[in-house]
Amino acid sequence: MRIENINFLKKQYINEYKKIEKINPSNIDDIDYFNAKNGEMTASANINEKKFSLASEYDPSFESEIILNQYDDVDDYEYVLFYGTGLGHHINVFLKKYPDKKVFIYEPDPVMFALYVETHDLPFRNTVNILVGSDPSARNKFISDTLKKIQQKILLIELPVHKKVHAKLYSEFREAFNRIIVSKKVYTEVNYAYQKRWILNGMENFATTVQTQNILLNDKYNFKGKTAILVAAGPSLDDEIENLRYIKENGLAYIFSAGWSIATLLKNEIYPHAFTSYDPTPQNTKVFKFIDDESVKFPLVYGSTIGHETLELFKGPKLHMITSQDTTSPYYLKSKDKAKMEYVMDAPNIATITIQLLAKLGFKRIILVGQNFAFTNDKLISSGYEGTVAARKSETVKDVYGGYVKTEDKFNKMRFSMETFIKKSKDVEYINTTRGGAHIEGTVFKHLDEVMKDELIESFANDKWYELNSINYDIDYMESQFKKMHADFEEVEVELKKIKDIVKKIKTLARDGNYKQVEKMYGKLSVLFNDLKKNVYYNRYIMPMNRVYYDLFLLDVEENKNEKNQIKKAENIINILGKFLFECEKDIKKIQPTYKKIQEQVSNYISRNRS
Amino acid sequence: MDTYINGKLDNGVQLEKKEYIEYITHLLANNFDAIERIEITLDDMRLRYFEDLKGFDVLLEEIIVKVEKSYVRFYQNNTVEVWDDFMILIESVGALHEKYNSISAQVPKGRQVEWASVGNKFSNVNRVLMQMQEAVELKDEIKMADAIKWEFIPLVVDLRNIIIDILNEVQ
Repeated sequence: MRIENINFLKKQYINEYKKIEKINPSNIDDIDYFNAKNGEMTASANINEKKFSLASEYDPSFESEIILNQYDDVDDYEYVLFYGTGLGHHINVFLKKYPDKKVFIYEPDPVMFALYVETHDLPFRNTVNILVGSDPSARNKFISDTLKKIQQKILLIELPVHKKVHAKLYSEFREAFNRIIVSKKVYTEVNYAYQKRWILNGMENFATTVQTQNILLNDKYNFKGKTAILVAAGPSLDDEIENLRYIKENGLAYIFSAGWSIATLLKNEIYPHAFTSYDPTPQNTKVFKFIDDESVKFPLVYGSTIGHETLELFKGPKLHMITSQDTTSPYYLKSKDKAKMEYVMDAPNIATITIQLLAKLGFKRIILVGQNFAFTNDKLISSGYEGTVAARKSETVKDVYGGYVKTEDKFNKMRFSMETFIKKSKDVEYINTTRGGAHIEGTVFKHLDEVMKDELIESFANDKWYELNSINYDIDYMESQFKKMHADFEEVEVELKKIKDIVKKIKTLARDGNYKQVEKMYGKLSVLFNDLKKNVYYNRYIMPMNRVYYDLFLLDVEENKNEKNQIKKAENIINILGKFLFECEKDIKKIQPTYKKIQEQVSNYISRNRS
Repeated sequence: MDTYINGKLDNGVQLEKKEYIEYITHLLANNFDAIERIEITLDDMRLRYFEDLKGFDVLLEEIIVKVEKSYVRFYQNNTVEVWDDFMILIESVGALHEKYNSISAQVPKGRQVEWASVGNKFSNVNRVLMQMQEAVELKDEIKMADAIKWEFIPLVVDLRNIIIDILNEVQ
């Protein structure tokens, strides 16, 4: 192995070095490496006593140029992920042409990476991260970390021969990459859009949340081992109206209506056993307008970060489920009988939230109705929906019959998310009855008529299942948390001011060229920032409201550590921190009235329940 | 003067010497009274050779254009189309063989030596085909791309250069 490569790997990627240190490519029977006709190193694998080329035997660099010619938008990217190194010719050719690009390298086959290290210099200056080996969890972490680190799009360059020689590894990688890209994109987009509303809704809804039943904290509903129907608003819902009416009238399953499907059900005078909703935006009020006082014959199960405007509109009984985006309820609430607090993870659609809920409630069979995740007869939504759905760019996916159906990116993201949760609940049987829908991994497709004939034969569903009237939160705990929060509320602005003062000092010292003192200030800044992170008011409300800025802030700080130019380094710190502190101060002012309202409500609630 | 007799009927069917003489004899015997004038044109074998070489050159040029794109796809491992390209290549080589054999059968006297230089080069086509055959068996796209880019295309280009030289001389 080349000595510079060994030093580089030992210093920066010791774990990857350990994976290849004992591999000597010359001693591997199935690999030959030799000089190509142009003098460069090349290699072949011995397959059934015949040589299979791993790179051109004539001119590997020319071959690399041809491979790279496929990528005509390289200028649009700052970062590149090389999947498969081969002997590294294409990486070298690429970096000769684009010397400033930053690269991530993933090589699932350690032998191949050893060949690369043996024959070419690694890109010392350009490398951001390297992973060697095919362990799925390490691979997924590498992809996630890569995307998290760069916070922008990345160009994926795949070595064609690698895709062929390690076809299975490649398809596993590609699937993981696509899924992570999608969820990351959703995460960033959703976080950016909702970061402030989640927190505000959690705070605004708290007065209702504390006075309603936590559906996941009560095991007396008698759902264990039963069958639930999850009704979604896909166009195929229209086909199953009469079946659902029959099931409801005869109590053959619990019917949970998710989101917009309630409009279709109510239009057909079918009243589900529960209606679930979680959308944090004010647009969610549209669906609630379908539910007049007459039709409230069922409870609303709401996610605790639901748009506060909508919660006020629903006049029927309410139960809540705490969502992973809520920072208020998990802080103040603890079960009276020390039972574990369960949450639902945030997801791109209400059906996926409801799937989690039903699995956590102990249902043994979950039947999906109207869950198309696709265009069916050119429709995206069932007949109750009164908004408009613009025609969007479509793609093709596997359908429930084994053929193909058109869908779009947004539905794929939702489906991936639902499949992830289905995979986690192994004890639940999932039946998808959606005619003409996209195939959902982890479900079995069966028409609803057949399911009714084979499975739904016993009457058990109770329309009044929710009438238990037991609130089960610990008042003492709430009180002590409340005191702690209030003390930190009083303190947060003082702590922010201390940080601002240090930033001002850095500005003055840098202007005077006193970099020794500037360095000292960095240390103080770090201490003060750690203190701020311990402040509950900051870490429960202010930081989560700015989570996207905060992620970017951390990345900028990390990157700035390597800045050698002291003036630039100080300027960067001032800018980075200045922007973040400004956003924090804005939000402190913004949420103060809401916080004071909670303070009053919690106080009243505590005294009411004590007496 | 080298002469040859063959002919084409109105419907495009090509006849060999013996068949053509029989056809003419029959035509004359049955239409003798109606014939006012008979013109006989003797085709120069060199002219015919020249035309064949031009056809050969056009074929070689077409092959180069076709395979230029195909080695790119093999290197890029564009699996959907790439093995279809190989079929196009095989058809092209088949057409090349046919043309080569047809010209070889009718090389005019005095031109055999220059044609032998084409033959020498042409004998390499089979060697390259063997190399491609091996790539097909292994489904080795890189080997196939190498064979096309670094063996087959240079061979066809060399052949074409020889043909162009001969054409210049014959002209």
